[in-house]
Amino acid sequence: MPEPYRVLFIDDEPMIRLTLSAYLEDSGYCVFEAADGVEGIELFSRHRPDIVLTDLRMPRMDGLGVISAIRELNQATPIIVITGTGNDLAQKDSILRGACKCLLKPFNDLSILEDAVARALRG
Amino acid sequence: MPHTREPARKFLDESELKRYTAIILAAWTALVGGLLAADYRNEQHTAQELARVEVRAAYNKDLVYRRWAAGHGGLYVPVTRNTPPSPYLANVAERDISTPNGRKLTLVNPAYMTRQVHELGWDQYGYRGHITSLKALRPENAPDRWEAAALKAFEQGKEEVSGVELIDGKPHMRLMLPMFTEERCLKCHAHQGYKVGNIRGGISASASMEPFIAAANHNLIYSFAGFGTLWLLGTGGLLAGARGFNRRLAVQRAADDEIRHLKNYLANIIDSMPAVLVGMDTQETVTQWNRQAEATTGIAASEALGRPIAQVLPDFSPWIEALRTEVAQHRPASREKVFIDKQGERLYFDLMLYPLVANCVQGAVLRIEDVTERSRIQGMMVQTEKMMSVGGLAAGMAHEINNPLGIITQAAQNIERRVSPDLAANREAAAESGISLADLQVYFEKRKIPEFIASIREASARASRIITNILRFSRSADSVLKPASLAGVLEQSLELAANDYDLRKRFDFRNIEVVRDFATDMPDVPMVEIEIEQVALNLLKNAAQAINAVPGESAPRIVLRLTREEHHAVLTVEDNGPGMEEAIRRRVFEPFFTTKEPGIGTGLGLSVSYMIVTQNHNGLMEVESAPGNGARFIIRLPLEQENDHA
Repeated sequence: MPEPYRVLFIDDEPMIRLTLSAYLEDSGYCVFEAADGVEGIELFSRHRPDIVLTDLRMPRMDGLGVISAIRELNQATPIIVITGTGNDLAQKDSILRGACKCLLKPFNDLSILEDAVARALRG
Repeated sequence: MPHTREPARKFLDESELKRYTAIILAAWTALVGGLLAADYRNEQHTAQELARVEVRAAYNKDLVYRRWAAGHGGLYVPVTRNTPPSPYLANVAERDISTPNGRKLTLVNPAYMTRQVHELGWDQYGYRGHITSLKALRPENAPDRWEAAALKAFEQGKEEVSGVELIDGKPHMRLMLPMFTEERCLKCHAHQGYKVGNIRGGISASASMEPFIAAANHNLIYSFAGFGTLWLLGTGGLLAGARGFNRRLAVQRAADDEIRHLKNYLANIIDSMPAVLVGMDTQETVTQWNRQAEATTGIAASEALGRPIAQVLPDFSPWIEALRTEVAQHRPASREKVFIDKQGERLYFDLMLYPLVANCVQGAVLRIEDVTERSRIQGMMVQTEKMMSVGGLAAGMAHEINNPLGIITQAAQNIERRVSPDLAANREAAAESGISLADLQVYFEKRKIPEFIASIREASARASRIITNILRFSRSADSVLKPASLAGVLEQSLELAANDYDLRKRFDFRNIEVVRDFATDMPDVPMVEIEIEQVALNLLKNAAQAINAVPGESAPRIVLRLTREEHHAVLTVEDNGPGMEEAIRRRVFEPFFTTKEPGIGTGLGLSVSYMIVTQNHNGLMEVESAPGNGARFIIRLPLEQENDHA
């Protein structure tokens, strides 16, 4: 059996983390969770995930900061922003900094998330 | 002050005055002229009389001399060249005699004598005398026309003939008296057949009128001067009087004009007022009733004046009473937004009653203003403000709600997934727990767990859509308008409609005939494409639901129309469903207004669409509908937008 892909999921809301991670795990991914950007960077360095999913609005370090930090460490890892705000500016900024996609949460259908992750991993 | 219109007072205008003055002047002139004429005639008459007197005197003198001569039977005078023997006396005995010394003498009869004397007189002082007869013996004694006529008149019995005649072109007084045959005349004239008493002829005398006329004219000059002065004085007085009168009239006229203007102006002000204005006296009887009052109550001013106010404004009388007591303290009193229900409509009015305080006039004025429209608009504005504040609140709340909602949805999805035997992880966990997934499934079915899970998903999904709509409500400033094809947007909406989850569950959108009536010259329209797509989809869904709710006789059909007006692109969505009553049509864009059963639809769709079109796109949206005639939604989007969107 091939190694499951490793997903780093950074979000400050526990219930979001719970439901999203459960779904992804059910889909066959291995999920690491972080509650804020600082923890997230730390986990990134330690576990070298295959893909990073991050929220934008978080305490201590927000999503944009996370993206910049990760890009300094690694250029290739796909980063997907999962945000509750439809703010065009923030989304555009994320892409500029290096994220490859922005998704709106919460999801009416989590298969959309799964789809996006799979596609990003395929490159 | 009763509200009547008086006819303009009849005043002498200037031309009438001029006419009257001219008439009086003419009469005055005629009078003076008449007097002058009479005077002239008098003078002429006097002149003639004087002339007549003179001529008569001369004549009488003549006659006396003749009688003397006739009494002597004639006179013997020396024969000269100028005094030859008269051939007419040829048969008179002893016509010619000689003196003892041999001097020739001839008989001169009275006629001959008179003739010679007349000749002398003519030479001397222009006095003319002429002895004449219709049977004159001597041809030179024949009468002229005037004398002949006079002689004939004598034979008719006239005793004297006189008149002014022109002799040599100059006026003369001619007078003629008859000569009767006397005894002594027969000596020479018997042979002509005269008898004593017959008219033998006449002596006409004439004298120049000139001295008399000159004297008369002389007098006339003085008369003329006198009358002229009189006339001038009279005329002067008349004109001065007329001018003074005119001036007084002009002042009067101006004052009257001003009064009339003021009256009309006041009446105009009062009538032009778009509110009901009713004046009343202390007995609450109507004294003033303006045009708006007539229009509102249907009672004409002529009927309303003098009636008690409770009679002519029955709807308002309870408030008028209340106002009355307040007004007794000499201050205005008012009531705002008083309402009466008339013919199923609620109408709002502002009432104001104010006492008349100036010039010791008693009474009051009632003003009634129809504020129904204003109240409605205010009501709408308050609603809108509520909506906007709700919108503001909603944006914040929506975010707050969105998260837990999302979690509900996601968790439910996870539950659904994790009770299925399809997932390997489930099977592993079940095995580890020592239970059979299949048994679990059966148990769940028995207890309807899957249905509950499904309803959680469905309900939270619906709640999420509402939240999304509300968020759209408040997120207007973020969108940028870009030109896009309306036809393209409509096609996308149609596809979404055909695939929409909701619609598919109830009926197939594809069963509805969609007619596209797109103008060929439709330009691209600046818009937020997904928003207009949303609006079109909303309209399509509403149309489909309406058609489906009340199946009609004809095949269900939606017509999509795109046309172009000068400044707008017009999108029309028309259905042949049951249509709407006016009471519903009017409120269809109100937020949370819905005719659907609870649980179906949120009542937000059309209000959001309305906001998108009007707020985000500066467009217009309206709906036409009548029961049995379907509905037609018309959206107008400006072809040009000012770029003040962020």
